[in-house]
Amino acid sequence: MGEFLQYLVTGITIGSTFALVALGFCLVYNASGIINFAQGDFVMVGGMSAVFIMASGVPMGLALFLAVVVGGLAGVLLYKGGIQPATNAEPIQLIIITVGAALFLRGVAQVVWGTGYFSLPTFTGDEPIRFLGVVMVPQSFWVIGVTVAIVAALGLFFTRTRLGKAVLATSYNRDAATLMGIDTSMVLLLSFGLAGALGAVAGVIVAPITFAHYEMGIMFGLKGFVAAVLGGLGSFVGAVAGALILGITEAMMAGYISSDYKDAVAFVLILLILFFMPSGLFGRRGVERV
Amino acid sequence: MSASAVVIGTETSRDSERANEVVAADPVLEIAGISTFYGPVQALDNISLRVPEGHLVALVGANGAGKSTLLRTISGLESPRSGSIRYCGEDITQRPPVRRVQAGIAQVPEGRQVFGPLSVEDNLMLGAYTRSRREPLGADLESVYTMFPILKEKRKLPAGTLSGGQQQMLVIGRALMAKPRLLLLDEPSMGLAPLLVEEIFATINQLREDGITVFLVEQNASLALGAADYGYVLETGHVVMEGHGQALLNDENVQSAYLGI
Amino acid sequence: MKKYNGLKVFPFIVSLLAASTSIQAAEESGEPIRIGAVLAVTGPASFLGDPALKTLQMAVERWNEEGGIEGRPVELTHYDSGGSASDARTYANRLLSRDQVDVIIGGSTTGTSMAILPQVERFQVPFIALGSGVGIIEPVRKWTFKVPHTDRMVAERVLRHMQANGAERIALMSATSGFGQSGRDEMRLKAEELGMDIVIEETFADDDSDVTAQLTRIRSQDDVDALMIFGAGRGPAIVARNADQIGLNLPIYQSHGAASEEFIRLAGDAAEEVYVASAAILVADQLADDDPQKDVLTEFERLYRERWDESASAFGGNAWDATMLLEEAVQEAGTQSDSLRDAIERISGLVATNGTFNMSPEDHNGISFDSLKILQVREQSFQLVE
Repeated sequence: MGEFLQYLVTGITIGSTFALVALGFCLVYNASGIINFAQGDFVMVGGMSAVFIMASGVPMGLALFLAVVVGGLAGVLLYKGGIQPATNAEPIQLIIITVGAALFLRGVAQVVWGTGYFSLPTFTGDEPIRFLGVVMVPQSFWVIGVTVAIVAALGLFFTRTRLGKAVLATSYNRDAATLMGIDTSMVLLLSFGLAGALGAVAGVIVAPITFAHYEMGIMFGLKGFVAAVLGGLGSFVGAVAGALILGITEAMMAGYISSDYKDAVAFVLILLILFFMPSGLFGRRGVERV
Repeated sequence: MSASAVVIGTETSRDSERANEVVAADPVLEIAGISTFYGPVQALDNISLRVPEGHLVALVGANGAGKSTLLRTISGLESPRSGSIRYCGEDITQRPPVRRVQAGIAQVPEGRQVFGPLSVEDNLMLGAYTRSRREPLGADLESVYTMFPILKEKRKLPAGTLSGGQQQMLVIGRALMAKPRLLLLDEPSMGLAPLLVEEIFATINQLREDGITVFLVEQNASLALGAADYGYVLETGHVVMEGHGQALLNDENVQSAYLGI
Repeated sequence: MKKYNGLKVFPFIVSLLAASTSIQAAEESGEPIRIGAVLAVTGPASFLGDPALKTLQMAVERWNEEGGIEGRPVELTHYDSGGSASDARTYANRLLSRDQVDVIIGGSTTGTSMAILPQVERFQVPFIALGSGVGIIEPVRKWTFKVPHTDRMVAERVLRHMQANGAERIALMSATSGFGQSGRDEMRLKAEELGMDIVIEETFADDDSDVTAQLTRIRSQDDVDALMIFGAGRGPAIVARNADQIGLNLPIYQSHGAASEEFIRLAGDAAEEVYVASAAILVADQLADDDPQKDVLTEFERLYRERWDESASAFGGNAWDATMLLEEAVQEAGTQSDSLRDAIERISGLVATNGTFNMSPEDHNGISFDSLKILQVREQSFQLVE
């Protein structure tokens, strides 16, 4: 029982970080119809910025906030510099632009920050908390708590605010949204900025656990993408569910079967989903698309 | 082909009066020499027309004649290669679509483009997106609900679950929420049962009575021209005929080409 | 029976003669000595390749400032393998066929070293490998030499230390990388030889961010005496931290893959009391004054710090030793590939950062097991244990 709970806690913690990345994938996919392969690298931008802003003497809270802002700016820049100029490009061309952006971000990070691993202090101490045989580090609470708060905030944004509904409307039907007077390029800009900030939040909260590194985004991008597809690309609820399923399954796999197969979990899950539920767990059915 | 279309003469004095009145009224919309291309394909060739204040103008034509392209050009979703669009005396040819909506041009796009997963009420509220945040919208929402009571009944449901006719009501209601000065309607009868089509047209007539300027684009020529003060006939990107609605309806060419008589 | 084919061999002999005369001419006229390098400067093994490249650059600068080796300038051509074996193979081919280098130093990892190896054997150019896997030099290949201690030595060193401290039942946690896999095999082999038991084996990926699940399994296994972690880069620090967090109460040993200040920096308090098998470089100042390695180590550390303003690591030390081997061999025999190779194989008694090199036709590594040290982290720094 203690073991099971331990694996569960580990899975939820790591799944929460995948969730933030997966939500970023969904935001951009909904708004623009493209898969942003630089999403994982926003995580890196957040983590690395936090480390270096803090190292320059800025107090921790402010440094973390600024790192998220830097992530948001990276998203905005990707849209302004890569996506918007290619107005009439096919989605596949835009996707290739995001791949280029990912390599660019990694390259810049390598030149600016080097290839080392960097540690960020935990937000509130290192003393593990033990209950029922489960060990949990305080940072895990931060990871889970911040993710829950962000999911709740995004939920409110999309169901309670005019702007949130405008973003949704744009994702359902861009032309019709334009006819409502919604500035769809502003919506796209906002989506990329939010996606960048979400990625950066993930980077900031996991950096104390996993260390920041200029290539840390590759793994997060992959896992976040799998989670988003698992949940039905574009569904926010699905992205969170997919991320938790992925994180928990990985932890259980490592715990009960063998850590050798842990990394195969993502691929097996995605194959199963594509075979049996091609539109994902919470995917939009074709009917609703007009 | 010459740019000038055949103007159908007026036969009765009452028609003549009315046609003259239409021509004389200040135009809300005035289009001059518009040509629009999709890549290398020309969809509109040198189109000129005017929609006077407070009237209902219909544009009829077969499928693929360029009717929707014209509406998309007016609302700014497509850019014309040449020509100008004037709205309330101002040249809006280069204005982005959002600012045209803000200026009072509302389009009901063809094919009932509702935001499927959003609720009926959310759809309606998005129609008022350009209106000031502080402006109370409750009364306008109520008047749409009075016009289409079924929408009130289903206001919490996702718009995608409505029937075709209800979705058409919803998109018209959504456009009205913008308090438009010019309402562009694209094929409101398409794919609807005859009874529903009548209901929709009754609504359109009512809107004109209420003083909204309407530019109606339709494949169903008899219905559209029957309701219109003035009409244009579009064929493969050209305006080939224009005149008072009833006069066009009575024209032999129109009858054989569009009315199957 | 094979027939002697004069027609085919004749041009070969001519070109050989031409080559040797041109080489002689080149040596007289100060033709540069061309060093080719394929290092993992980026990618997950960049912590190996980056200090190695810096060390090579520093060595080349110093040689040229001093007028070169035997009066000949030294040129360094470097390609970044990113840690990918297939890239390493491609770049090795380019160095050999297009850049015409006299020697290749590189292959930061075991995998990339193994990928370069067949190329140098085909082109018959000496290769000094920086990977640690024992497979690089076992069986002995004619043109391939290697600097760092083998993982087999590391396994034996660690296991003997465990045994001496009463630990017989071992938990093994190895990385899924080539480094970790090779290490796992060597641990199994040596444990059997020493009559010890590996009672539980777990793995982790280099980019894993949490290995609590694996460690929980180890914790629930009864009567384990010690934990050996075989991995390099960030992974070992994550394992150490998670082990500390779940309160795993076992002596922890790390391989030479964790032998750098970076491990302490990343693992923080969790690094305390962890044992690390390492070359002496991390504890140069703790060596006895009469230790022959002490001077070499302090000299290298000083030069590296002056040039790059950061502390030297064992990984830079490997590259430094490669340059020492090369310098000695070139001084003795020039750069004609056969004689250079023979000269490297004849090197003996060369004191370098890893230990004293005594190459032989049977041993292309040339350093002994006892030059490997066991260190322990105490108060955030490495202390020499034995």
